[in-house]
Formats: sequence, structure tokens, C-alpha cells
Amino acid sequence: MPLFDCGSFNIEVDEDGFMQDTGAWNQEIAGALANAEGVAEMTENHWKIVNYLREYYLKFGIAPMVRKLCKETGFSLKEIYTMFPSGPAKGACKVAGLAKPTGCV
Amino acid sequence: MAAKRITPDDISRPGGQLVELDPAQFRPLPSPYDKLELEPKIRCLTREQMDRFECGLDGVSAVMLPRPESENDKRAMLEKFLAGLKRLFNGHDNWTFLQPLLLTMEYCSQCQTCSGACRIFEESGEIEIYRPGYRSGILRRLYKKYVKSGGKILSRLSGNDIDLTWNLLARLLELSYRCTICRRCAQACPIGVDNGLVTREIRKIFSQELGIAPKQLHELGTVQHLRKGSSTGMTPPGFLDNIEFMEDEIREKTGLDFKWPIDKAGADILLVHNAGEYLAWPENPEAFAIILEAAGINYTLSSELSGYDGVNYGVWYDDMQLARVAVRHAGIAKKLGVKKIVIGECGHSHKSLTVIADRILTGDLNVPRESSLTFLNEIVKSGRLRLDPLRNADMQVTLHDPCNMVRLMGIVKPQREIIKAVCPNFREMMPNGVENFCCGGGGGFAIMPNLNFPDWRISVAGRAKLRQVLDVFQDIISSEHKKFLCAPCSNCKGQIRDLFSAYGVFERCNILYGGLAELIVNAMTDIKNPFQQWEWR
Amino acid sequence: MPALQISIYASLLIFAVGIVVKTIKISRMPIHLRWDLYPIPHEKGKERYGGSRHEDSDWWTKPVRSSIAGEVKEIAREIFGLKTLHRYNRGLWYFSFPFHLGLYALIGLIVLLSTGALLMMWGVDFSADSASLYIRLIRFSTIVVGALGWALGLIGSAGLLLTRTLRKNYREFSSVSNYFDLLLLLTLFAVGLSAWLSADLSYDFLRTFVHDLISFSATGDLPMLIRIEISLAAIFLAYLPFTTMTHFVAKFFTYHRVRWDDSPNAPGSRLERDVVEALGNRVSWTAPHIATGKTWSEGAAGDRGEPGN
Repeated sequence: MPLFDCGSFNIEVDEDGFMQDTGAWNQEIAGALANAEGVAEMTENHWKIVNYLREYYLKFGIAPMVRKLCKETGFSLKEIYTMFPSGPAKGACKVAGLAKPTGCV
Repeated sequence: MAAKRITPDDISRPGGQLVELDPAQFRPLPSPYDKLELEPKIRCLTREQMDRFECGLDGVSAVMLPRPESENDKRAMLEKFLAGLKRLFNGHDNWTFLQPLLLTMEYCSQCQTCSGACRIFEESGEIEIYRPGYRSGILRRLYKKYVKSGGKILSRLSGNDIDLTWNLLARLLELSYRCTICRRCAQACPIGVDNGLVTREIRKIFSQELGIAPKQLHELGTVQHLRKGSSTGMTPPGFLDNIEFMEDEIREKTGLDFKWPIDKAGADILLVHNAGEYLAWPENPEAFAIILEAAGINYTLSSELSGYDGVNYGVWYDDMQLARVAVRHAGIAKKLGVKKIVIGECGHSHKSLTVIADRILTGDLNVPRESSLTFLNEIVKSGRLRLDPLRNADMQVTLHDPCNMVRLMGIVKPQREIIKAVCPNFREMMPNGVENFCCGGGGGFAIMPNLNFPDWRISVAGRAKLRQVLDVFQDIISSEHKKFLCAPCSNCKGQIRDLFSAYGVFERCNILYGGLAELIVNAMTDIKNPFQQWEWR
Repeated sequence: MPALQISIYASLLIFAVGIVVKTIKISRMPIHLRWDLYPIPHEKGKERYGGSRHEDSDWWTKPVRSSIAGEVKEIAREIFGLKTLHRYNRGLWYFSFPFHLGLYALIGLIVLLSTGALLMMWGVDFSADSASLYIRLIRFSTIVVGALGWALGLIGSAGLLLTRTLRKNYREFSSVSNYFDLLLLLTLFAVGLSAWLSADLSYDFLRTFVHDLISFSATGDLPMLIRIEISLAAIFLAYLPFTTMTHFVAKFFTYHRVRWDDSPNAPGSRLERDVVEALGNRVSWTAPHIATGKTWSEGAAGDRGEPGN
């Protein structure tokens, strides 16, 4: 498995950089992953999105619908793309430690 | 430099990749993509990825087969492959497809008609290994040498000898994921040989005997579907949460306030969508809900495990998984006591449950299945909806025919009748109907985002579809005209989304894509605001 | 009885047994899952555009509208026009069509020669001097049909052989037998044509040979070229069942039993019984997720291969 360098330690990620063990997620890892996704700094808004994704994922075992993410956090899709340049699924979900989306999505 | 042509003998040879992919050699696209700089790149694997995964075919890895650690591992896998090869030609183990497979193995006349029908081969600039007959030629040689009696001597005499080496095995596995199983080749075959079937049968040896399949098809696909409820990972509570959200969305968008029927006993119809629709294109299931509510249909959705995801990835690689998913779906319908299952806009789910599984579902599991295209057409024709096609008049519309519904199921007219009833500006791309071109995401491709495989899927497999779409709108290709590609299939939509994104088709040409039910709702006069949002999704 | 005659009997026997065995073998293969491919010509009213009963709501409650005439028409187009090849590979059709037409003409030649031979057996005067208009018509047709057969066959097989040799696409995918089959036929056509032109313009020699075959009487001396011609025909007949040239048998199955087989699994039907039987097969595939050792029905009812599922 490829390793992702979080500074003082490494975590296992898949080929696209998604965390293998989503339970091991913490804020430090999120910060490091965000850096790699082209996020200069994790602002309060970034955390709002990441925390929502995380909460939803822990509750339902899957990422929320993108439209629900926008509605619940109050950001438009465009704003999310500005904050996470690779988008909600490949960017924000990755930072939140979610598994890579699968299926016909 | 003209490279040496690849022959079937080359597949066993040691060393690196057989073919280097160069977009400059692909068939040039029409305007505005007639410039090479607009061609998306096919990424090279990194050194480290190459060390870990087999990529000796064309430098692309769809399956991510790890390189074996020892010669012993290789030998063990070769032995298993051989055992699987033999099972493939045995009536007890492979009763499911033995007859068409053997006919294909024994009666090909090598007339090469299939090559001309294969869009991947043609659009790639005629790369030899993508020729339908190349793939089946390899399996035929293996069959003649290792399965038929006296094969070892006869194949040497016939000049069609082949050596089952590790390199062959690794390349053949990848090669079985360079064909979308659209079966245009079979349609063009004068003898009735089916090279598309060969693709699937090769995948079956790997899956059913060696336990090797792309993880999105198996582990995260059928296995997750059966155990967690959906290949998207959606659980029953997650499904219910999504429904609630879509109910809210409909209320906000249209003012219509109604509950979606879930697990409703006594319903006439069980409607099953591809669960990917809920996550990626919720406007499609929303449109279905609006139409069925307006038409007063007594139907239900299911929140049971697997009952809210109509996909069946087994159709692409494994007969047992295919059977399991089909039996699960039929069992849910049986329990609900519905009169029929209506299958949402998903091609492979149409074909697997309606046609292929017809010879798996017996007794009371054999609940009648119907296409949503047929079903929606009945509603549109019945006059129960008030429709004004002028509400769709601001755009030119064309239609993509999903292979699974059309060439492989014979559903050609309903979708056209619907579009003509709700869109005044409809144009057919060429060819269409049963002779259509695959979107390039078939055979499981659209859901396999491994390494650089998506690049190949877009530039090579999707090329024919992009060409067709550009051609049909060529006279109004500039972005001032709104153009819509209707693709009534989740898989096709996923592929078209990625294809259009990679080439920037929405930005450059203003062509949007989407499903069919949305067009109907957009024409419904009872809904004040346009349902169709002209924004990229 | 001369060896030449015996060899024809032997080859006819091998041919007949070979074809019958092959047909039985294919037809006895187990029932397979549906794998339709459209257009299907028996879909009445929909065959033109490739539609099916799946276009009709609640189709299972409606009578099946299947048309045998549609299938017959389509098969005739395939046999006599090589329709699919014409549509998808015109370049090859220009040779394959005369080649097949030549073969059909030669089958016609055999029928006409046999007709003559039978009439001879019944004591009808079949010589060129016969006063009967019908006899003269049959004699004339034999010559015309034969000439067409040899000439078209020769042109076709030469063209196919050249295509296979000169065009890389074909050469690299052709097997030794692909060449051998064509070469054998090319030789047969060439020898047949020269035998006719040089020694047997009226086909009296060949007709007499057929007469002797049918009546089991020893045949007399024949010109050399005709003897070679007959030997080649014997070799071809005996060899044919073992080659891909028996695609005329296979095609029945690939079309009727695969592409066009849309028979629904109606409750209580024979098909359903066959399906139940097939699902009773034990699975011996060994991948971890497969329920190895269980039946297909049992395997399909679970979600994994481990016991208890």
C-alpha cells in the first residue's frame, strides 16, 4: 500500500490517496491530506464541510449526496470547489477520511 | 518510426508493454477537437506503480493485478488458470454459456468483419491488440492446445501454437478489460460468432477460479451490494435519508408535497433505480417520483438490503454473483407481492434482470420485469400528464441508445416516442438504435477509476461516442446553442460526464447530458418552474 | 469395383456421419442463459428496426407475436445474399458471394446430374439425341449451372485466397487450415473447370459416373482429369466435417439458439424444467466467493461461498 506522509508519521492510503483505515482519522491527518489536495489552509469553513461529511459518514456509512452537503453546510458547489480544488468527492471527502466513492456515481 | 506489428504470438513474450499509446495515432475528432492540444493525456504509471502492478499490455492497468512475489506464485496462478480454462469448456461448470462459447471457438472464419464493427479498435487507430479477433484468437489457441484432446501436437502442426506464460496471463487479464462487451462485433459477424462473449468468459476464468476481478466490480461491487445493500455503500438508513432529502428538494423546486412510497404492501409495482442515481443524479429518481405521483400509479420503492440498488455487476464478470444479485432482487419483489418490477434508467440492470436472469429465476421468483422506458411511454401516451413540449423548445436534443437496452434487449421505440412527445427539436445521431455506438463506459468501465484506466476509457473507449455527439450537433456546435444529450442509463451518464469533463464539452460546446424522465417532467405544465437546471453535474 | 467409386462412397459416409454427429453434439449442449442480440427477425412488426416484446407494457399478458416467415426470409437473405457480410464487410463480400454462389451452383450440378442419372436408371433415353424437350432442357441446365459453379467458385476462392495472403489484417490471423481449405477448393474448382472444358462438355462422363454410383454398378474408364476431379471431391467431402467450413451447421445454432433465442421462461414450461435441472448442477469453480460443491440454486441463494450461507 502506498504511504502518505503526515509529517511525523505515515498513514496507509489507496492509489488515489484515500485513507485505508478511516477510523484512524484525526485533525492532524486531515490537515496533511488537505495540503496535498491543494488546500492552503484549513479555515473554519473548511472544517464545517469536513466535520459535516465526517458526521454523516459515521452515521450512514456513506458520503452524503453532494446537493445535501451544499444545503446542510450552506455552501454552493462552486464555493466547495474553491475551497477544495478537486471537488467534494475527490477533495473534501478525502480530507474527511472517507473511503473513495464506489458504484455507479 | 513504424513499430513492428503485434501478432498473437507476442502476448506470451517476456519483457515490457506490447503497445505504446500515442493520442496522435488515434482517429482525429471533429471540430472543435480537431487539434491535438485539446486531447486529454493518457497518464503514464509511475515507476513505483509499474513495479507493483502488471501493466505489460499497453501501459494501462484496469485491474491492478499485483506482480507476484515469487516464481512459485506465478506457477500456482498458471495452474489455476489452466483449471479454470478447462471448467469454462465443461457443460456442468459452464452450462450458462457453453453453447455460444464453443460455437465461437470452433467456427470463426477469420474474416475480420468484427474489427470494422469494433469502435475501440477503429478509434484507437487500429491498434492490433484491441481487434476483437485478437482477444478471442488467444482464447481459441489456448482452448485448442490445452483443452482439446491431442491439442499439444495439433496446435504445433497448425502453426497456431501458444505458450501459457505468466506474461500471457497478466496481459490477457488486462485485455479482457479493453472491451465494453457492446456486442457490435457479434452483430456484424456473418457466422454468429460472439467475440464480446469471449471477453466476458475470459473475465469469468479469472473471477470464478482465481478470485481476480477489479475490486470495484467484485469486492466493492457485487459483494458490497449483497452485504451492505448497494455497490455505492449505501445502507438502508442512508437510502431513507436520501429519499427524505429528495422529497424536500421536490417540494422546494416544484411546490409538490408528497411522500415517496417505501416498502408499501399491496403496491402493483416495485420500482428499482440504480442507487448511483440517488447520489449523482437525484433529479432522475425525483422525476420518476413526480411522474408516477401525477399519473396515480400504485407503486413502491424498497428499502430492503439490495432492494434499492438495481445494479448487477455480475453481468460483467461472474455468473454466480450475477445469479445471487438477480435472486435477491426477485426475492424482494416476491415478498412485496408486486405484480411487476419496473427497472429504472440503468442499462445493465435492465438486461441482467429482464433477459439474462430469465433463465435463473424459476417458480415464484419469476416476477415479471418491465423497462421504465416502456412504462414511462405508456404513461405519456395515456394522457394522464399534461405536457407541453414547448417547455423543452429552447434546446436541441439527441438520444444515446444504451447497448444493454437496445442492441441487447430490443427496446428502440419507447424512448423515441417519449422524446418526440416532449421535445420539439429532436435529432438522431448516426448510427442509432440497435446499431448504436457504446458510450465507452460499458462492461463495468464507467465504475472502474483505477490508476490511468479512466484516461484510456475516455480517449479510446469513449471516442466514438464523442465523435457522434459532435457530428450530430456540428451545425450548431458553438456554445450559443443549448444542446442536450439524453442518455437513459446511469452507467452511460457516468461515462458521458467524465468524457465531457475531460474534453470540456459543456463549456466549449454547451452540450449538457441527462436522463429521460427529467425531460418529461420539464414538459409538465403543472410544474411552474423549469425542472431542468442548465448546469453541469 | 474401382477404388475411385469406393472412395466416393467412403467420403459420402464420412461426410454424412460427421455432419450428423456434429449437429447432435451442438444441439445436446446444455441450455444457456439468454444472450439475445437484436434485430430478431421473428419479432413481428418490429423486426425492421430491431424492436422486441420488451417495448410493450405487460408483454407477458399478451399473445406472443412471433413470425416464422420473418425468420425464413432472413435466413434466405443470409444464405443466398450473404446479407451480414454484404452490410459489414463489402470488400470481402465481392469474393465470398461468388464463392458461395459457386458452391450452391455445384450442389445444383450434382442435383441435375443425379436427376439425369436416375432417368437413365429408369431407362429414359438421356443422350444428346433425345427428342424430349425436358431432357434437352435438363442437359442444357446442367451445362450452364456447372459452368457457373466452376467459374464463380474459381473467382471467389482465388479472391479469398489473395485477400488472406496479401492483406496483413487477414494474414496474421489466418491459420494453416484457413489457407488449406481455400487452396483445396481452388484446386477442385480449377480441375473441375478444366475437366469439363477438355473432356466432358456434355457431362456425359460425370453423369454416367453418378449413375454407376447410384446403381452400385462398376464404372468404366474415365479421362484422367475427371478422375482427379472426383478424387478431389472425395477428399473435400471427407475433410469438410472437420473444418470451420461446417459453419452452415453452426450458423443454425448461433442464430436460432443464441442471437434469436428470446423464448421467455414461462412458468410451468418445459424451458423452466430445463432451467431447474441446470440450476441443479454442482459448482466446481474454486474461487473463494463461489459456493464450491453446492448446486447453482444453493449458491445463488446466499451471498458468499462459506458454509452456512
